[in-house]
Amino acid sequence: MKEQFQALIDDVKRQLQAIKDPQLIEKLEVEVFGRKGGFTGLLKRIKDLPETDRRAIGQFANEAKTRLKDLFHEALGQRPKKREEAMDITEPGHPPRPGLGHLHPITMVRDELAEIFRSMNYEVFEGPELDTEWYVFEGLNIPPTHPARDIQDTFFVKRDGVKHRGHIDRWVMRTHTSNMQIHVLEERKPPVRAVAIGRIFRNEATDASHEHTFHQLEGFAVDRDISVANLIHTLTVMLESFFRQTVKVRLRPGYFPFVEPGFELDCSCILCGGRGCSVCKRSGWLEMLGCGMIHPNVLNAMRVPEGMRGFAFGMGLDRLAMLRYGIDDIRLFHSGDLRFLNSF
Amino acid sequence: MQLSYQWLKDLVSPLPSADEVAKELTLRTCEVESVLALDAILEALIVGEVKTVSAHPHADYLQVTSVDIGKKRLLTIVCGAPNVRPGLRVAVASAGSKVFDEKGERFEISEREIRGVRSQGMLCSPRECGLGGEHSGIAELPAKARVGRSVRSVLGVDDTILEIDNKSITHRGDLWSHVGIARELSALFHRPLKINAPPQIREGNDVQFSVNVESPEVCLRYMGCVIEGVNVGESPKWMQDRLRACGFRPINVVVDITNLVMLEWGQPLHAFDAARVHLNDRKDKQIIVRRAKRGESLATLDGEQRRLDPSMLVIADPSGALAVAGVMGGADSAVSEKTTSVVLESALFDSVSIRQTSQALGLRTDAAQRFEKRLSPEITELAFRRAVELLTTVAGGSVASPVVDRFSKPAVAAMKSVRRLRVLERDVASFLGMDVSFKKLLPSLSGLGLSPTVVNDALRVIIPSFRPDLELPEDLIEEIARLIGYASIPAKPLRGILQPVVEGKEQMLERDLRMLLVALGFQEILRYSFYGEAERRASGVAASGHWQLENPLSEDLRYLRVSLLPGLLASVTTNQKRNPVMRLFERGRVFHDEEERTRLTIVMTGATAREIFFELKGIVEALLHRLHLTPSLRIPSADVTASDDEWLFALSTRLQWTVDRECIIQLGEIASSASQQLGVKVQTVAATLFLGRMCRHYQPIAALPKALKFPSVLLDLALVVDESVRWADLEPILRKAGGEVLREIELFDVYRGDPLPPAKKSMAMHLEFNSLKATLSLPVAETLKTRLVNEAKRRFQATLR
Repeated sequence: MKEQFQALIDDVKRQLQAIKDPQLIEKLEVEVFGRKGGFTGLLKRIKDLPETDRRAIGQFANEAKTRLKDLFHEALGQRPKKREEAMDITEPGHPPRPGLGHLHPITMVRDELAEIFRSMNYEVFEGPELDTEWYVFEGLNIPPTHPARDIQDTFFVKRDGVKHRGHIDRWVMRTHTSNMQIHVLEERKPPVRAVAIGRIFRNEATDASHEHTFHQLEGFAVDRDISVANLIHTLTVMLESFFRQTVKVRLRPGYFPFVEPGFELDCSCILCGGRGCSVCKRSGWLEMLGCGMIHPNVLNAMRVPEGMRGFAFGMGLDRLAMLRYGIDDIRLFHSGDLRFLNSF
Repeated sequence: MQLSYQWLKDLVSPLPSADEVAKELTLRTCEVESVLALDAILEALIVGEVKTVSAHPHADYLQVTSVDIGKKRLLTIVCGAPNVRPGLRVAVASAGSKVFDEKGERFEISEREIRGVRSQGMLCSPRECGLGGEHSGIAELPAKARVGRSVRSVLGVDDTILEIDNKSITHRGDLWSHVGIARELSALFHRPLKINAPPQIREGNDVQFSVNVESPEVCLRYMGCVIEGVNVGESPKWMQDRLRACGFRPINVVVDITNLVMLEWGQPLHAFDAARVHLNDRKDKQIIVRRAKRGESLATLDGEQRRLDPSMLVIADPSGALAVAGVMGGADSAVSEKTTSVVLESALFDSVSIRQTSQALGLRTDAAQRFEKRLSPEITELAFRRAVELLTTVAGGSVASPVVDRFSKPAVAAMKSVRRLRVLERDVASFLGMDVSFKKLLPSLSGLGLSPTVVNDALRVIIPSFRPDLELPEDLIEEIARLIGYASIPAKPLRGILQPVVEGKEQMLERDLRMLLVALGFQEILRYSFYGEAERRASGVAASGHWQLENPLSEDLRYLRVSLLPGLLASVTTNQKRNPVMRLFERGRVFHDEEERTRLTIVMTGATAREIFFELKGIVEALLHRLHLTPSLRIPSADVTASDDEWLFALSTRLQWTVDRECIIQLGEIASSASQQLGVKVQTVAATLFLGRMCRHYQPIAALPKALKFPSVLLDLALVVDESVRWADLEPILRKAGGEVLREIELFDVYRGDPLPPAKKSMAMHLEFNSLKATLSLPVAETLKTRLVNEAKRRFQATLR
């Protein structure tokens, strides 16, 4: 490399002796230092050199540059001089091109929760969005006559059903990620700790706080001696890790067919700390999720061995994202509107 | 459901404040959504008389009224209610007073312009008055109400309303009543319950009355009798107050009694005008409980003609249907002012059958809502006796027939069998994660009607018929836990074996891709899993190749997507005006064939398709490099069966990367047909990553290529070839000629134009020669370069530039 730089310098020297026209001298200078010039070409190759050589050659290249510049200055009858270019460091920086991209806020929440649960020894799943009634309903102790099966809540798909336990299960868009309770236990033997995060669907008219497509995290643990106290601890730790603040939680009675007993879990308002504000409607509490001890009928459907039990909980991600980022219209998530998405 | 606090106070005393009651119910029984003190609200509303009603000059659905509120001047009020008419007494909220919106929150009325007409207040609906229920029209006050007085003084309501979230009591049929809630309160607050069993009925014998239950499988119990001499007028004020507080409009004394007993005991009742119920020419009456006949129809109380089918249960007489059982009565047999005798019904129907009927008819009445839950056959009788008591004491009637009581076998069994549950103290302690003492809970458990006994560490209870929800030991543990109070359960960390949780390969691949794309300036978006006809057409896949929803919310959400691209293109359309240059991606599921698949689709827009094509191709190459994937590049021929997504790409620029003949990535410009279909006006290129297939070949960890030890020789080469010679043709030839010493060929410029002849192009490239064995000399490299040139000459008639 050194030789090549030296050859360039010699070559320029030789040529300059022959040219006297200042315009031609300038042209030659452009040729040497221009984008496709000899010097630039050599400089570009430095990066391909082994790390050990790069430094020395780089230094040599700098010297060569000064030498070449001086030659041109001399040829143009100028005294070699260096002009310190002024630099206003308060000018704005140049934005990166292309600009930075963004993850969707739901993805950010999803990744963060997955990480929290992995750190607590939970396996993370997503599971099918299009599933059969056994996994979405019957296996979860929601028999065909249950109100949650009402056609107005569930999207049914025109597709030949699947024979299961003597009757035909229809295909539905899952109405919760709880379908993964059954799927996971088909593949894993307890003890099991798992969360399923994914899209769910409800046949509901949309408005600022209702969507037909949203996201849910379903978590469950199956083992010996699991207690309600374990459930409370797990959820408190999860909420504290997510919101990065200490929170209080309280359980209230709640009814979900796949747990017994079932609870609604409220979390002390993360905005006012429980003193009461407009977000928590002055109550100091935010309704956060539904949870409970897995119903014995569901444990049966999961073929969980005698003597084991578990807890389960389901939480909406969209609401978490709305709370965290102060979003007031749930429909923005699927709008594909870049004005909204670029603000993250 | 709305509860009257005053009513509860009659049933449990002394009762703590309404707020305290609401709090304890919420924490231990069911969710109380709101507590409304009615008196304060009604005090601020004024009785007005509508004087004139005229059309609004600028709005078809609005009317302009002048209303007398006892002041010198009439108020001008704009009103949209269909029932506003001159002479009507109405509840007027003048500027400054507060009323309730649809969500039960209070808002202040102010004087304001409504479509160009100044409105000096509002005429309130019952719900806006805090009386709940109807919102379809304005509240109609009694004609004798004095204009200018407060609505409270007219209605005399002095109560607080507790509104219960119906969803929180779906499994507890017993809680759909004041008696049921009172029982809870008595257990929670340790206060005595003051409920008297209604008196036995003194049967009559003047009228023959018979009941024929033809469908006992869905009619578990049916009680009825004929009551004569009823004086159907207004009900007494105390009854009206209770009904209003619960959101019911008083109608007449008979209907009010059936509603009141339903609100008290949770048992829906029905009274037929006995004149409309026949057996034969004499005054004998017969009720038949049967399934509706095919094609049968009935005019229901709400004035609608209902078509019935055999899945529905009707109450009929020999000449035809009188009511849809458990859902709604018929208009013809409804009790009116002319009614003098009634047939009273208290029955228990199958919950599933009622729910299906009410759904099929779109009639979720208060009765149907209760019958949908499992109710107690014992309460059927208590409520019947209570209604008879009120009809005789308040409405002046007397029982003219024997009481008929038809039981189905399951109901008899349910009544006779004694259900017990038993749990052990240590089991409950382990389940809850805290110490439990049954002894302390005995009074509360008795309060719930569970007849508890404790022997050693075992608790036994007998389940009353009104608690069919208590079936398993876990159900009993729930009762124990809420009586202790959930707040006393501590938080305890889960114990168990710790095993490392390794992120799945697919999750790693997706995370890597996401992070790389974001770093490259891509914005992630999410689209619905469903789309409509426009996207379906753009996808190029026939409707029969799409799964479809049976019950879509709208036509634009009818198909399950087979590709992420149509949705992304729709997003391009939404944003193209503001952002002509976009970098977007979506990761999501697509649905076709048997399997659901995960895709990641990237879309780029820009000024020239050529430029962004190579930009995106470069990005895909960089991604592949980063993921240690080395697929081969293929130009799919048009006659090959279209693979997924292929229809969306323009044929001329379609490219695929394949591993073992499986396409893992497809890239190209968007076909103009698809762009047009979705209104895309900017140049767009896209790449679809088939994540499942990619994942099969993806190795998260790969050994690095051998590091070069000796210096490379870098040489440049520019070849002039025919336009028809593609890089994909030239490159392998050069590589072969160069052998393994030729490490890298970087095509850095392609030039077309002067001084080259037409249909020729110059391809300029950097060549890197390196031997792993020794330092390569320049002459050796030059020789190799010459070999490349010669080979290019031989194969493609290339010339040096």
